[in-house]
Amino acid sequence: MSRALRAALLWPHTWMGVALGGLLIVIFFMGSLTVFMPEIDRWMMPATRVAVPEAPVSLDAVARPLLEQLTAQRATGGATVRDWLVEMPDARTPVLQLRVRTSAGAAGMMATATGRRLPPAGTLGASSFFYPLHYCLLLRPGFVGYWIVALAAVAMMAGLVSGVVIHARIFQDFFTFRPRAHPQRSLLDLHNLIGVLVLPFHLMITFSGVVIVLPVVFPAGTTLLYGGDMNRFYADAVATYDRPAAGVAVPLSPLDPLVERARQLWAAETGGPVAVAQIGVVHPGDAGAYVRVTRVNDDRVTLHNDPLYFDGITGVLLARGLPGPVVGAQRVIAGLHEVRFDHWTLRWLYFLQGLGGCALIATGLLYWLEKRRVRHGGRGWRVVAATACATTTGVVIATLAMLVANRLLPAALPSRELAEVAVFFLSWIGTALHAGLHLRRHPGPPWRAQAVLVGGLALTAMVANWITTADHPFHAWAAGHGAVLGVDAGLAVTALTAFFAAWRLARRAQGRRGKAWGPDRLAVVSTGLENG
Amino acid sequence: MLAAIIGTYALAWGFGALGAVVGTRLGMAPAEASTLFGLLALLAMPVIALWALSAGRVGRVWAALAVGTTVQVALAYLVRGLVPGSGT
Repeated sequence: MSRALRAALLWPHTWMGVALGGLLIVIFFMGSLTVFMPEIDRWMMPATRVAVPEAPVSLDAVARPLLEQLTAQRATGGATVRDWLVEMPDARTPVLQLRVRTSAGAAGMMATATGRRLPPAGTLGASSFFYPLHYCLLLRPGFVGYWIVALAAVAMMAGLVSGVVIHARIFQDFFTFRPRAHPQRSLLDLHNLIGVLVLPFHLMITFSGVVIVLPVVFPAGTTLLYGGDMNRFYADAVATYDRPAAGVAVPLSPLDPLVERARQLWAAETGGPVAVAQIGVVHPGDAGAYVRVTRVNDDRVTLHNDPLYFDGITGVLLARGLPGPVVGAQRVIAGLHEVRFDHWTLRWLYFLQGLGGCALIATGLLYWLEKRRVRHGGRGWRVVAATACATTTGVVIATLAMLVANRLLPAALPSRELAEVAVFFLSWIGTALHAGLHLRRHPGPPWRAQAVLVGGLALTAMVANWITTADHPFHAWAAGHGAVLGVDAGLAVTALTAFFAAWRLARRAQGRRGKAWGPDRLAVVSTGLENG
Repeated sequence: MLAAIIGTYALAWGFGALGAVVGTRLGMAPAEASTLFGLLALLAMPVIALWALSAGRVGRVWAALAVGTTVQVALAYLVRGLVPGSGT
């Protein structure tokens, strides 16, 4: 690599990191949490901490009566039922999730495998808050959030490519870390080390992340070949089946035999048992009803869930959604990102490398801040420093504050889930304000204070869970609540790490103060007096 | 900076659109062609963006991106007209 090319790529690398680093940290952090989304959901929704069903759940005996209850609630005043959806329980989500959509709106509920209706969760949980925050920043109208996240991801890809070019000594950098050197040196060492160590994962995860939403954020072919009709493109790409309602009332046939046929079909092809993920019934109770059965992808990478479409009256297999080779490859790339396959070692590697992404971006950002602190240190620098603080420790504080609120807010609180969201955003804004005010009087961001807060909140969340659910580690172990045990362990590790970081920062600050009045400083003072 | 972001996207869009219609013309299914050239355009995007950001002459960057985009999009619409039943 020529020196000129490295020099030319340095500024895009730097400025993409400074401009989008904070956003990327939030995306990576929320993505890392999403790896353990079902486990965090169990922690945040104590009513769903139930035993995993040992036998397949009967749709006709368990789900259908509940769906009919929901339909009766929603389809009043002549409203028509559009569809039913049942998400089957599995080892990580041991409850049934049911949804009914009618022309008057939608309704949903969760139930145990025995058909016991669970109370409303009162929380969005990881699946409806941390996850959408990861992929669309909760900005769904007009797909604005998807565009912003995709832009950040492409910038990250460009940052990784330019980083490889800039750091020509890529192999040496991998073995160079001087933790006791000057902070600037240590930060750059750590930035390079993580960058090299996790480079393949980061390239894969950013590319595959954009691939998932590619038809939305890059509709070039869709615009020309489908007149911009995204639904038609998707229907074509994954060969979905649809037909209108006939307008004639006909009872729906039993669902269990259809599910069993789907299982047998998949098992014959794969040579092993395949679990059912979802059952959708479109136009239930109408002569045009059809049933869509999809499979779980715990044994393979692809996200293609092999939908089978059955006639809802006769049970005839109407169609099977099979994508072509390119769309099939796109589904595999998307599957690499979403890590739905059942592999705990890989899940942990995804989680740790995702956090590695946060550390990579944060160290780059901090290196830039340290470098400019002496030269600039003005208002602009303080704004960037406060933003960096809010997007690193701040987002962790906001997340933990939400977990604490999840355990401490009264169950009967109206719009409880929105109260949790308010706690998240108010805490987040609070960390930015705290950093901004701190920087007016101090030379650096309030890392130590916020690290202590991270530790305190993590401990509070863990203890609050033990008190409010009685699911302390011994009970969780005995009851087989591995998800709760895992999240509590994660909180304990977070608390220990945060307190250790705060202690190290305090020692470093003391060391600096000591040095200021130590022999070097005294020597300078002494020399000055002698000269005077 | 503006050239790098908007120009890169436009150039890649042109490539994705042209590739999709040419692929369909050559016998690929429209969804397959759209996806394939979308993926290829996504791979090219970071490289084009870095070139646009690091190039010395901004005028040349704007010109290359604008000409490249215009030619590709024009060709894409021209070829689309030759694909029976496309774009409807």
